Amino acid sequence: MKKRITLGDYVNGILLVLWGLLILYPFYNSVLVSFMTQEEFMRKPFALFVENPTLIAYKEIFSDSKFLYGYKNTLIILLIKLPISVLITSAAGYALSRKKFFLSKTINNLAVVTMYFSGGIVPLFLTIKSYGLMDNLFSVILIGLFSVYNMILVKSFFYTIPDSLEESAKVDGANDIRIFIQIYLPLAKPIIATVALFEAVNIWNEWYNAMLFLSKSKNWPLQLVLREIISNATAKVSDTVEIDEEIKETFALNVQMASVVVTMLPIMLVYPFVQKYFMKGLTIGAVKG
Amino acid sequence: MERCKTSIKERGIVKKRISEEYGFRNCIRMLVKNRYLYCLLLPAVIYLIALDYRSMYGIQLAFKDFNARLGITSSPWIGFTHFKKMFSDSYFLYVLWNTIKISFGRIIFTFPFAIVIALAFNELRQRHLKKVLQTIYTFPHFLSWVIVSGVIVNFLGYMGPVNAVLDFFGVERHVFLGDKKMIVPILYITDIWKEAGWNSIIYMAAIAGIDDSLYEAADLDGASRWKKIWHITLPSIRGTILVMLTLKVGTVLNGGFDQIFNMSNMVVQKTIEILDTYIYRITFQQSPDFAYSTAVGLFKSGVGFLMVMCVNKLSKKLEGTGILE
Repeated sequence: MKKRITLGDYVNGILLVLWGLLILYPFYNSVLVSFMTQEEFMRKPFALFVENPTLIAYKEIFSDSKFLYGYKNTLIILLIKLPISVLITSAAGYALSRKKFFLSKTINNLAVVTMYFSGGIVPLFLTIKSYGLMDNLFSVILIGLFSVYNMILVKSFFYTIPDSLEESAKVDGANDIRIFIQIYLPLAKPIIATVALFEAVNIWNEWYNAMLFLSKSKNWPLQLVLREIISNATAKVSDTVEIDEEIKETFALNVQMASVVVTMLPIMLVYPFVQKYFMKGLTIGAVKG
Repeated sequence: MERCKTSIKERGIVKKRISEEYGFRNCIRMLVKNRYLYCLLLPAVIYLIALDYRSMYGIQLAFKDFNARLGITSSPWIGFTHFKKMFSDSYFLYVLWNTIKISFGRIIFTFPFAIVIALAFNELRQRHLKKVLQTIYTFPHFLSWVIVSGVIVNFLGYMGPVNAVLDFFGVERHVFLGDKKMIVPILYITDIWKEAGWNSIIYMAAIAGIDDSLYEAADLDGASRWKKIWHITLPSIRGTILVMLTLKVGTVLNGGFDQIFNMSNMVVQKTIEILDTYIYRITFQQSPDFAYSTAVGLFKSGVGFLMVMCVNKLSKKLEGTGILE
């Protein structure tokens, strides 16, 4: 029986579409502003298109080497951290998904505790300092190299694979590492993809640890470079209460928005195609192991 | 009765087996037998020890008079001095209260929004539209607050689109992000804007798991849309809602550092100060007191942990499933 589309359906649909537009427009507006000249921006800030698009803002941010360094550092961190992290996390997830063995429960609990209890910033700061990693990209690479949350995702996935696979491989004389790499890892491709994507996004969005441990701007990842530009802008917000005129003098906004755009562009371009993997991760995580 | 007896019997056998397995000799044998599994676990364990647990060793600073020259271990113990100082500091108490206020505000205003979106989305039947909308709704979750605060600075800016609309209707332009009264609602709204879509997915998954025959029976009885939502959908996802809610209550001391840290400025800094931003500031101010900020951090982390544990117990009691394992 096909249901009739009622008035309620239309109202509901329109509200949902409006909510979607409300999410999109601020991003769209940021992209527009990044291509605007000051003159055009002052004329019509609520724009749907740009009359005279200009690349001035983009030229300006790439004339400064900061953003190039930012890209470089983020890519270095991504290339080193991502594969190691996925490997460590999935290996641990596999091992803890096997039949109980001595200390397995303890290790699992010790890992889960770190999700909710930590030493805090000072002890972490002193730890990194004692390893001599201040102002070294490896501080950012090291922190979060093993993700307990992702480990739980992997573990929950392995629970769903029947044990008979492992048993028959054992009969053939394969050891646990071989079983993991040759049998279970290929089966786990979807969850590995999910975990890798979560991790990649985390790395791309990393700014906090970089802010704590990297003082030289040459070492900063992309987000921290952006943060400096934006926080200068938010700081100005408070000045404008007194001096409205000043904001008209400095047109930093298109440069700021260009910075936002170059930082979020990779995620924006990739996201629609990989969205389903993220959703999978969330629903697996919800089931719990 | 019969079943009960056998299960107790079985349990006895299992217990015996475990005690046998944990004998010293068997222990060694188990270690050897599972050596490859330990190899797979080793990197993760090294990480946990070298970073998380090594850091936890530094927690003792909370009870010490830290001297950088002496280091963590040799600095003298001073007991609960830092904690006494903390609870006699009116600014700390203000920040603690503010954190709780902001967190509960999030629970009241932003938490239900994800459920509303999931319910409304479930009523939508156009498949293609659904897909497009879901992509849009969940997308902002994957951007950092650094990026999102940049977008918001533009959107709510003095010359930005929102003010342009106000101006058009003859309302005076407003510095939203520099307004102590507006900033907290803005935190909630932007939080909804960024996260509600993503948070709704978990409810959508729960709704998808509801037995269709329930709705068919309701249709036969001529139940209206609202009646079906109220009497079938909501009760069916009650467990999910409760688990998410308890998790939120358990992490009430967090307050949302990333968002607040990136949207803060001189004018509103005090209004939206939470424990995490306070700890950050006292740690990296000009004359930092490492030991004191460790104590504040320990208070936050310790109480937070206890709350998560309690809430986990509660959720197990209420729904049979914990939020932890």
